[in-house]
Amino acid sequence: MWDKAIIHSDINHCYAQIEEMRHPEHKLVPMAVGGHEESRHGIILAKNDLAKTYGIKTGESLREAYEKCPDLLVIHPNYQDYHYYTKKVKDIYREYTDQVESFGLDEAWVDITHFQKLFGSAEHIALEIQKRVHKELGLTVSMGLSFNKVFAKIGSDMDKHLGLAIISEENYKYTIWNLPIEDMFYVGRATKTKMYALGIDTIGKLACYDVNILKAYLGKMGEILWEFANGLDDSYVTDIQYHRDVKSIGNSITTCRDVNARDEVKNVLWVLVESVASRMRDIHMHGNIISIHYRTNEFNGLTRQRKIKRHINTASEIVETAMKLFDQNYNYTEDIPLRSIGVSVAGLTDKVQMVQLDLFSNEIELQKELVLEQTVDQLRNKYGHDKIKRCSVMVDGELTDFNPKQDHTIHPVGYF
Amino acid sequence: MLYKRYVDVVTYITKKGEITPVCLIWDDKQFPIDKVIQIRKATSVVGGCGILYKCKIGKHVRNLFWEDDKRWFLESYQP
Repeated sequence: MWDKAIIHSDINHCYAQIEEMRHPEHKLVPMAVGGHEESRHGIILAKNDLAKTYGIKTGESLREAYEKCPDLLVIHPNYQDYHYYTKKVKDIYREYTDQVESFGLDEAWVDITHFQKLFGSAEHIALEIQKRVHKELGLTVSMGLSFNKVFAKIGSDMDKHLGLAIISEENYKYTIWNLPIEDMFYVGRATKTKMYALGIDTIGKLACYDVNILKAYLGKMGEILWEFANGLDDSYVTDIQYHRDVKSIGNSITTCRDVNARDEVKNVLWVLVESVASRMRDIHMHGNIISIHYRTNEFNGLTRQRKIKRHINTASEIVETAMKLFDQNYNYTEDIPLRSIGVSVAGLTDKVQMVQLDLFSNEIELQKELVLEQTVDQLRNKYGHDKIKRCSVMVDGELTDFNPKQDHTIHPVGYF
Repeated sequence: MLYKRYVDVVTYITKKGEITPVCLIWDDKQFPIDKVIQIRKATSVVGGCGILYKCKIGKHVRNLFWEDDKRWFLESYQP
């Protein structure tokens, strides 16, 4: 019996698999789920095994994918279905334990430590869940069973398609440690390069490295990764009732065409910020860290943030700071045109606080602005988003014709 | 060869929320379901999954699925 038994379960190429389950004929052709090319959201979100044999990768553009496989069948995502079926999968996990922590739509950690006496050994439970998901929902999940969340997650990537990797305290040095460093949780492209520079190319080498050097070189993250590699992660799997505090609220958009004029950027920002501010007001939050994010049409991105003195939740104040950040970090005339723009607000608090008034800001105007924005929220809630708009965003209706608040999709949150 | 065919179904729902198909409607013709032989969660060979009601309709046994908590489809021998 395991002292601590955590399963990480991953629905393999989730979106594509759900489409295949619903339409078995799609299994016979190379197929991928992707966004709309016309609206420039054209990237591959998931692909089936046949498409994989053509070398099609998740995240690449539809154009690249068509070059590799001209007959590729591209299906537009049906998010409602994906939400429905992934919830059904998690409902099966919840029949075995109350500790099920989602990590995005398709992944979850399942802690079965305390249920081994009830349902049988951990391995048995894992296999049974896998079998049931396959039989009842027609989906294959790959699993990793281990004594901590990180090894379980790495394990679930080791053997796709109904695989079950068992990583115990006895065998992790033979299994996990031989894997290349990029298989490690939270090692991306940038960290991998740094690791290689230190001569670390496997997880084992990371685990045996001097933690002080790692700390000096990679900061706090160096120490965390070292702990991960040594199986020392002791974070727990949150239970069903657990509600994660909101850390930031943001929206972003890939615009219908590239933008580089200041006015265009500002108009797009207005639409995004109105949604952010409105979502903040919905949950009675104020924030004081404004950050912007952009990506050029050459796919290079940049993020900048600024902390302001007081906590706010009005669009006009957020836009002001966001525009300052843009003005300082983007050259409208010389830089490469922008493909996507995002804005988010962090440093959130719901405490109603005494506000130290500022001698130089016009408090009455700010209060008026708040009331105005609340009224707009009410109108939109009652009659629809496009019934009232700022005049400035009507100048280029095509560019600003989107509703970030409603079309908002929540993506996996970070591990920390 | 089996086909996926969405059908209208007259359904009996108890006060506890249990669902039982009573009658199937195919091209405006009614086919009473004589007996539900088996109820279980399952995937269908014609695509989709849900709660399978194995039904006896006249002399035939057919698989009727309650899909997505929304609608009924039949694994049909006719397109």
